Amino acid sequence: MTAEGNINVAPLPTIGFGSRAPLWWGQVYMMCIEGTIFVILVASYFFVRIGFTHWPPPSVIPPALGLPTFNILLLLASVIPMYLAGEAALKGERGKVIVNMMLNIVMALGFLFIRLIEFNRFSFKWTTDIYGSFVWIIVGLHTMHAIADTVQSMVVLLIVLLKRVDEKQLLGIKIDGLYWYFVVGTWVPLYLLVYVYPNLQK
Amino acid sequence: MTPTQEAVERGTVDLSALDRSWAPPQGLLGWFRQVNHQNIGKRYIVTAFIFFILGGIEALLMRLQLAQPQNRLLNPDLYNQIFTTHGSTMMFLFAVPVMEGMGVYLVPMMVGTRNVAFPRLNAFGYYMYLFGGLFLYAGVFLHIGPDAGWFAYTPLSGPLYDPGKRTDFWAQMITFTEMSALVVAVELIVTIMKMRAPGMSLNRIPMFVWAMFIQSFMVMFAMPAVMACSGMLLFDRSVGTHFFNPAEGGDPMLWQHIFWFFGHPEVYIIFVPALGMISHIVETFSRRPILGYTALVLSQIATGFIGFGLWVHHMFATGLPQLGESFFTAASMMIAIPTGVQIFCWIATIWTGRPTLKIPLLYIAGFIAIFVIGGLSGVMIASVPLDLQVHDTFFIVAHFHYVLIGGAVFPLLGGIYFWFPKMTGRMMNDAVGTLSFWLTFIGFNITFFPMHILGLHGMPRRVYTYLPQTGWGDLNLLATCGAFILAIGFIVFVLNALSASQNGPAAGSNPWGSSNIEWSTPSPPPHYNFANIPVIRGREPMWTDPEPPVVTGLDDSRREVLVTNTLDAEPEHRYILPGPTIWPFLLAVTTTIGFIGTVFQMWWGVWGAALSFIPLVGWFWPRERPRPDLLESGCGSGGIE
Amino acid sequence: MKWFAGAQSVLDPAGPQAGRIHGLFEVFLWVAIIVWVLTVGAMLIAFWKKHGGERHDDTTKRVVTACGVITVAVLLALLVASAVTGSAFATVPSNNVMNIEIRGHQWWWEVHYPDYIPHERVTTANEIHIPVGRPVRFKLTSDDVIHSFWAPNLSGKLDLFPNRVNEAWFEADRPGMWRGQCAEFCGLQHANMAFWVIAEPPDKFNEWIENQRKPGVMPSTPDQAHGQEVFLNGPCVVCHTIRGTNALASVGPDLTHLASRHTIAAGTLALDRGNLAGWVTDAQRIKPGNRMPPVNVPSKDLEPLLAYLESLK
Repeated sequence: MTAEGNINVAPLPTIGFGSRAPLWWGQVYMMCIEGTIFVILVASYFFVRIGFTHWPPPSVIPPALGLPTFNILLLLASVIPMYLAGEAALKGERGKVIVNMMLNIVMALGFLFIRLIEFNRFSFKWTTDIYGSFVWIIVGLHTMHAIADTVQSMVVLLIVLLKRVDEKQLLGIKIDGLYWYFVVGTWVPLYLLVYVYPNLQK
Repeated sequence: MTPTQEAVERGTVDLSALDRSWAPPQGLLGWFRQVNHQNIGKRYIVTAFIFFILGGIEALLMRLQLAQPQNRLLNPDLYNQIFTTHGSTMMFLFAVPVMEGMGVYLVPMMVGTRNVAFPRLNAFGYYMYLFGGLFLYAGVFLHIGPDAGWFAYTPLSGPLYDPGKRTDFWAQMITFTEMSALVVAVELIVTIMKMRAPGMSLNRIPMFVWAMFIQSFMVMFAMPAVMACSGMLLFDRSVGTHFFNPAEGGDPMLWQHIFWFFGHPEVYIIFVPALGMISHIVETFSRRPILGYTALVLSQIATGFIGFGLWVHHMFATGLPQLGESFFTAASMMIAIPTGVQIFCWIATIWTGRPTLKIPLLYIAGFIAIFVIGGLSGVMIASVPLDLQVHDTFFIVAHFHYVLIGGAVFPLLGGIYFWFPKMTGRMMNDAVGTLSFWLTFIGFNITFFPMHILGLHGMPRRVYTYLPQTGWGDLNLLATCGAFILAIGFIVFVLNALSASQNGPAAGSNPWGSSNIEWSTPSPPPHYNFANIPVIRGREPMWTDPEPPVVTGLDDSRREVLVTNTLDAEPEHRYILPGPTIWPFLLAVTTTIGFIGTVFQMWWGVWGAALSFIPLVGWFWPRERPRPDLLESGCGSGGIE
Repeated sequence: MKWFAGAQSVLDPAGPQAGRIHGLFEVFLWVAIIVWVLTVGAMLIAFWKKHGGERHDDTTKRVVTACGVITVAVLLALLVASAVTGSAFATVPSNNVMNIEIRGHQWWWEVHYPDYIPHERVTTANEIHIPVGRPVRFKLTSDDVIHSFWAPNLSGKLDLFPNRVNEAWFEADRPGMWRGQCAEFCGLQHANMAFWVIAEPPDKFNEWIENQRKPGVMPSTPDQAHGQEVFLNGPCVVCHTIRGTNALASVGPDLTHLASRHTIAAGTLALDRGNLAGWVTDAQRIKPGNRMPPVNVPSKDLEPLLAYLESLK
């Protein structure tokens, strides 16, 4: 074994960020997997839809657009504090991290509360017919992700408040943000499918 | 002096520190806290072989029932449960997990690192697989096992025609095992992308690593489909959704599309790792570098892609438009091309090398003889007119056993024989190995070749009996005899492995004279794999560069590994991996409670999620109080991004 | 039941479709045999030839590439052959077609011969008669789960779905009796869901269908009359139809001309008195799990009942 050609990695940092971090890729691939499930559900929705002349089925009252549109705007807006929290974390600005994460969590909770109202307002249940089954499973799955990431954000915030942020937790703040971008990003096409499309059809 | 001893002399590694930081957890509790990839990999392999034996017993029971017309050994209910469990066990509980296990064990060693990228996730995935398999068999032993086939077509598997919990056991087992497969896929992709030894550029990555890389992407895009449809089926059966209920607008055909969108890539998910193993065995025993490295890699990638475009060939008899079907015929034939190219490359390697017919290579010879038959019968059934005759007959049963046993199990057995010395430090017995090969090869052909003829003579699949006047009795009896010979062949192989693990002759670090770096470690390797991470300067390092430069400067007092960049494997940063912990096991337990609960009452999903909150927090909670808190002192990582 | 090996076989075509598929199969089979022999042969030579000379990897790579190109060419040829065969009978011929409607049940075949004129319509079960030389269009649907209609001597199979009607067609080019079987796993008695296709010269076929159009034969002996009473007063009428009587249920097979058929229980048993007795009194023993419950027929009623059923030609 020769001494020349040896590579000394001691000067390298013990954490990488962004696409250098294994955990970042792990989160991205998790998003691919969950995204694929949504793609399958949406494709199935259209597969079934082809067999119908009237869609949504006559019994369905297309949902009103007001509240859901407000909700998606709220959701999109919540990306901003999440992004700012991530940037502040890298610069070590603790105060900014706390404020922005709190803002994001408040907006997320608001979103979830309104989501609950949206569910209530559907004129159909998952047992009503195939249309109901699809809408409930799609919105339900998305809600599950939104709840999971909101809870995750709360835990991250707790760790920040308890002053226990090490390198991995810094990365964790960014990863939590990534998951939130997924929740927001997937809702855009799904909102169009669940709320806008039926209104266009009728 | 071994390379390790030299390194210690020179001070580039502190072995006692490495021993300490990578020490495995002790005691009974320690088994549940294990996060080492060698250990988890071996668990996958052993568990998978136990399920293989169970699946084999189910097969023998079926063969006994079918040996005579109008046999009364198994009533139709029992028979239907047994063939469903046989298929589900072999596909979900053996074939995919055993390949995952080989990947989990070998990939970190082959890329030159000390563990997978996410050790705790790795452990969690194993427990989910184990619990899923146990859950399925709980149903089987309670005689409420699934009975709608491993593919569970609706409406037969729906709430109206399959009441009770039977198919729910199946559908939820899928959730467990698919979660496990997805976990392994993600961690292997990230390990291969980011943790390769410096200098291991893309064109120096070992073939099996390529295979697991490609297979993992396939898992990532195929498994979600079966998770989606099994979830939809569970909802149809338990909460009254209508996904597959034609009375309310659902469509039984939808099940087939989603299931086969998963189901076809699934067989390539099983097959592609075997292709990777074959290259290592052929190269080693031809004693020359594999011929056509680039073609082999591109062929595997092509197989991965094209594999997603074939699924409708399982549905040719459903009445789809002819034009659509033609596309799938073309794609189904096309996939024979990359596979053929690989076989030609391997034969060419043997032809131009100096082959020595050791047992692993013997199994590869068996693979070529058997798999090519399966591939050719596959080309036949890619043709719609031919498929419309033999679809759902024993011709298909023959086809897929030829491609799966020939294409995956034979290379797997060769691979086990090949890497056994590395895993255990001992050699398996060659004479017994030869015997097991011939019993398996001959038994396999006697069992499954007649099934081609039975299918052509009109015998459908999934039938618990048949009339004597059909004339199918003789070939069925022959197949049953073959099945027992095949079973003995497998048993002899397992006994060889078990006995050799205790008494086999000691193997050195590279008993076969292979070319990849996993053979540079002692056999079995220490828990940290390599005393020094080597720098890779070629595709066959053990042949061309046996004393390479090494990586220095990793902190051996903790579990520190090197992260490199994806394309050229240049060092980027150091990365601290977690040590033994109980949280993955506990999370698997709480998740299992939720999954099993939902089979009986949907609210258990909520309780399970709530319960899982605890181990999740435990998993991710920061260990020691950092000094200083990085946000407090304002010294974040200074914008390293 | 007589030995019928070969009467349910892909390799003994009795109609143009099965014939063309058989021809295509032979093409594929020969290609397969040649490819396998060449590949395994090359492998064996690779092992046993003399080794150790100079390596010419470039030449070897060219050979491998050539094999790849040949593979592509062969596959293309097979693709074309397959497409040609497939399109030859993709569309149902439009002239002289006879229509039959099949409805699959767990675990028997409901067979209708539709007609504009109501009393020309025929309903039977598990046995399909067709005239030789005339294309027959089958409209296939299911009453419950997915089944598959497959008579290998005549053509490939097509599935029966509950929410759609699939169309298949085939033609017999000679008289004979061929057996088909459900080819999509459909539950407990999937193994015992067979049917017979009987191709007859046109005049014999017309005789058959004229007979099928008639209502059920009236009893002509006191025994048969008593048997009819037993039938009409018993649980049989809950599921079965005998046209011309009050039995009009369609849960189970139409029995109007039961005795004109060759088999009972969807091709599972030959039609004879012993089998009939066993089936009527304990169908569960013969096809466990099927929809016909055991029927307790007192012994004084059983013989007359059988006599009546056997008179329903």
